[in-house]
Amino acid sequence: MSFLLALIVLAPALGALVLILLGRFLGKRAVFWFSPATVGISFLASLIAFTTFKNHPSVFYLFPWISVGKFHVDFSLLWDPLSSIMALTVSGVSFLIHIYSVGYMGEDPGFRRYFAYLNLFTFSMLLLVLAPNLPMMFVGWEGVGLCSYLLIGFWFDRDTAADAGKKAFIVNRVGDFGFLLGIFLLFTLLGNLDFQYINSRAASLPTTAATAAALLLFLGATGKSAQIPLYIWLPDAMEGPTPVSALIHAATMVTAGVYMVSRLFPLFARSGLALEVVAWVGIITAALAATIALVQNDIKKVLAYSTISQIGYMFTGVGVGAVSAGMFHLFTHAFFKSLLFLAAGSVIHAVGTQDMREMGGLRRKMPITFWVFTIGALAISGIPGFAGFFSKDQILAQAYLHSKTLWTVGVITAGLTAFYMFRLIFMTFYGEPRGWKHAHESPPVMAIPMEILALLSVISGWFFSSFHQWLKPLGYIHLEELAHERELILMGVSVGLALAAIVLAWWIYLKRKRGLRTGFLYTLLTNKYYVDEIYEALFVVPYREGARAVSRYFDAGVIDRAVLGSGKLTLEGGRLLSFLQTGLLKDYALWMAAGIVIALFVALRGLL
Amino acid sequence: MTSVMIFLPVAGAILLLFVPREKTDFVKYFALGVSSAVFFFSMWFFLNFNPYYPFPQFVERARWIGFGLNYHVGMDGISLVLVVLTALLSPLALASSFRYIKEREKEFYIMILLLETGMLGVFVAQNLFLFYIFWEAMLIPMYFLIGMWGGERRLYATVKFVLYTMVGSLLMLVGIFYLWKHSPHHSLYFYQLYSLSIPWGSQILLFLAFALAFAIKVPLFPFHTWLPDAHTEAPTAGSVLLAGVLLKMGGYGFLRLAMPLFPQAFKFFLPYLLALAVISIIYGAAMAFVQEDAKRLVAYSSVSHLGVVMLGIFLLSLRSYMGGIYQMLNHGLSTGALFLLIGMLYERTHTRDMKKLGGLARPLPVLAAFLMITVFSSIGLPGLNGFVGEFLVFLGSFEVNKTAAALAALGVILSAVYLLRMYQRVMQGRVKNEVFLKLPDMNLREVLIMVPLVILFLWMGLSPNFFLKKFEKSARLMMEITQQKYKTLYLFENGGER
Amino acid sequence: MSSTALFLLSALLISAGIAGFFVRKDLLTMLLSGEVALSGANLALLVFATRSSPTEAQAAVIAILTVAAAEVAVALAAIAVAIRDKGKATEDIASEMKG
Repeated sequence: MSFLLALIVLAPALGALVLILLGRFLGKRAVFWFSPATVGISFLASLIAFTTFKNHPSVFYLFPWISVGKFHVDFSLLWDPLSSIMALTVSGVSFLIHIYSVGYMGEDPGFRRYFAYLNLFTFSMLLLVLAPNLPMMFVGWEGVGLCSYLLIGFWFDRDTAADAGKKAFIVNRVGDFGFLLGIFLLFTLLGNLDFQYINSRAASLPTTAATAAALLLFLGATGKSAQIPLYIWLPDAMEGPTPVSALIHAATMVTAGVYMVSRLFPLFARSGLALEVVAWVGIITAALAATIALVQNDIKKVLAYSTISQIGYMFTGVGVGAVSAGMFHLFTHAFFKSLLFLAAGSVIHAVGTQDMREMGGLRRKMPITFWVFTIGALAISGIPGFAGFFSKDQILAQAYLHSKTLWTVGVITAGLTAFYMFRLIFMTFYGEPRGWKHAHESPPVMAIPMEILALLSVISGWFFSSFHQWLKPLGYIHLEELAHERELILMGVSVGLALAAIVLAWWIYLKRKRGLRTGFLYTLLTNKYYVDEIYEALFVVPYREGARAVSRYFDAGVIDRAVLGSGKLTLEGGRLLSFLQTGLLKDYALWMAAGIVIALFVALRGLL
Repeated sequence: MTSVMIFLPVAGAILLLFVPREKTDFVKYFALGVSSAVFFFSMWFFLNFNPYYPFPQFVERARWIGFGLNYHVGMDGISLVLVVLTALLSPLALASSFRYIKEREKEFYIMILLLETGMLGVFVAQNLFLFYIFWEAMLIPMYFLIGMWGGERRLYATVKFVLYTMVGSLLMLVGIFYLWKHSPHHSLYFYQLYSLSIPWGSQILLFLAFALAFAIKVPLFPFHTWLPDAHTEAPTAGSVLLAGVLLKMGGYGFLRLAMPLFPQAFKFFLPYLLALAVISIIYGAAMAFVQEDAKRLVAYSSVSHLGVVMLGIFLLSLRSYMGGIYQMLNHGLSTGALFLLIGMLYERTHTRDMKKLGGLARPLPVLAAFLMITVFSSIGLPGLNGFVGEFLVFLGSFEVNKTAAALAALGVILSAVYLLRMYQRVMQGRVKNEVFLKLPDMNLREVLIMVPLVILFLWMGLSPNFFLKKFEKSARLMMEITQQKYKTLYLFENGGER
Repeated sequence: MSSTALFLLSALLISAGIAGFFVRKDLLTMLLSGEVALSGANLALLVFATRSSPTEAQAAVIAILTVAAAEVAVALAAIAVAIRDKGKATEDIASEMKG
């Protein structure tokens, strides 16, 4: 049993190790087979575990890690309803994206490095989801952060890529600061960091302590999952190769925060305030990111902001207490968002640019890409029948029961989502070709993963009730009941809004053929509310300039000067006394003799 | 055995005196052989060490100069791991100098061997007198290493180095005289000194004298300004040993001497010491951030990292204390590795100015990969060694003092900021100088130097218990002595002089 | 001889040595004078040795002789170098170090 779970985690780890150490001896084809195969093994193992262990919670011990006094952490793996679903999703999507990458990155000279990092990422992510305690989760948490850093900066010659990677890691570290303090606080309070222990004892914690711990952990979640106030790294992260954006920055890593909050839901629930914060941060992020996405012209940036926005929904779902709804959106989103990214990658691969203003009319040249992209867009827009509809609808319904304001913001954001997604489709696939010359459909190695994901983007939404049942054994899974007519009305409003938004997008971008380009709002949005600039002015510049000033005026000017001053003092003192050093032996002998006489005199004073 | 190990390098150095200076290859490999032998010795001790016995093991005593001042060496768990660290870094530092040092090679290798004996001696000495002798003896080869094989401003750096350290040691010497006068049998044996009860006023003065010597060595803010200069000017091997081992002596001095000998005074000064440790963490990180010279940057990062070590040791919770000791080892390895790599870069590019570097991952992918791993070890990425130490320190500190721990944990963010910036400026972006595109990547010797370190990064990160268990008992004992858990220490006196 | 006489002899030797050291100008003679003074002190020690704890005093005497021998070796070498480099060995050869 534990062998199977170990296999899930270790197969990609082995892959990464082999590629790093022996990669240079492997041929191209060998790498192309080997790397996806290790993840495939991992996926198969997850699938077997999924069918055999089902959702029975159990912990599999591997080996001890750190133990000092009463602090004790083992390397072990936790299989339970939550981690089983995550493991399956992560390994599955990762497998598909590995295959796609063979087509996308095959020509890149750094492909060995690329696949090594991708394998390492899969390993870390699986470690994260299968971790039974907070420190282990933190290992995976930082591991995925590392891989994200490495893959964003994959083309390290480009300063923008190197900058983006560094920014991602550092912003995440700010979140990790909170995460770590949360871990320390929980250990101080409980003396044990196992999830099961924390959850079972959460009710006994004092409210303020629980609030503090939950909010500190949530700071970590906002870093990893790109929520306010730490979302700024994700759009820049699009500097990485597109399959990376699909895997790490859409489907798996960025949803780790939602997973963490779901994992420790009883702790968050102990403090009502913490849950409230989670819900509101989620919905505000969703709305904010959606508005920015409206005006982006870079195809990947639009998708990046939509990712931020969708993760906001997930947090809202969990925050209003509907863990299964939030997790279900995570589940469906993994498929349709990675699909959208892969399709966008296919477009970028074909036309060689990411700027939608230079695309247009690709529908005929790339029919498969077009169709799968449309499916993804319909799914994310919440059109009935597609996966996103079910999950988003569930979240909105639960939000409505919690607070009408939450619901209103959520529904409007859903409309915005539909608008910018179809703006993207109309700008990219419809209209006249603008700029590109030789577009072509992608090879099967890229098309087939997209088709599989397209299928999943449709059908994965139909299983909400079994998903809900699957999670039930966790003990904190429940949904508020909503009157049937009310539910239909809410559904109608959101679907109507989405359809209207699609029509509006059609009218603006295909009929009138030009977007809104002027006005204060437009400037504000294209500049992303100036958040980067504000952070720069608030944190980066004061730190840098302050450190420079201290270095110049204090470190060198005060401390060093004091030290050198004392040195000079000695030197001057020596110079003063140097007249004694005549260099004549007799003078020295005289001094010595005088010394002896004095010493004798002192010693014999009593006798004389 | 212990004595054989610590004096083996001196014996090697004496033999080297008789080797003609033209036979440089023989000199190099002989020195490497000697210090490797020391490493195997230390491995023997490591494997035969009984982790359940907290007192010094492998003890050796001999009558010496009278006045109660005897030769007395041995190792408890804390000494043991530091000895192993020293014995590991010395051969690596030697091997890294094979091409770096081009003049007076024989003298250079002799100096390193002498330094090795001094460093080992500090960790194994069991009485204060012997401790002081090794402490001072170690300065002399270091002085020559920086002064003779250093960079352009080496004289300035050496003078500063000596000025700082001598001030500290001399005050400590005065303190040692006091203790000698008051200790039973004048033996200065550590565990006998712990049972002394020293009057309050004297304790304060003595603690200040000892603490100053050790704070300079650590270095704690504001006694740190010798470090960047010494590091920048020292040859690679000097920097490696300086950062890897010499700085540990400050922390070791605090936990072995300053804190347990003068517990009341320590308690009195604790708030100030904590403040200095926390300031060191943040201040060192901020200063590292604005450096243009890669070596200076790493030097300031040492200030920051050792702040973490000292925070852990000062706070005296089991986890933070153990974490502090563990972090000493980690810092020795990862900062040693950083200096080795920067040395290798310097041999190729002849500059450490990061404004002139950039994009070097293109011509030097292997070196870049090693630098990347080392940087992440230093940042404290889980799975690598740095994390375990930092995590334990912060976890333990948080149990005792939430404010200090929270402020110190800011170092988690700041270390990523300056180290990743350094990596980016050296390795990423465009190559600024066409010549750099043709640089040769690491050769086999250089890879072999780095491989043991990287293996240890992973090993210490993934299976820290293997190392923690070796010194847990000893650490607990030292901690409890410092906390004055034992009213009388007859127990220890029996283990003392005959 | 009585110990008083021996002490007188030793005092004489020491005085002669010191006087010689101050009067002469060439290093070789000064060195010789120093040695004479030293042997005077040694003699005094020997006399004491006959009175109390002979072993330790004898050890001290032998130590002094050894030191003296070593010292002479070093000093002669230094003088030889001085003669080679400066052509003379008078007491003022090192006075240029004066600050």
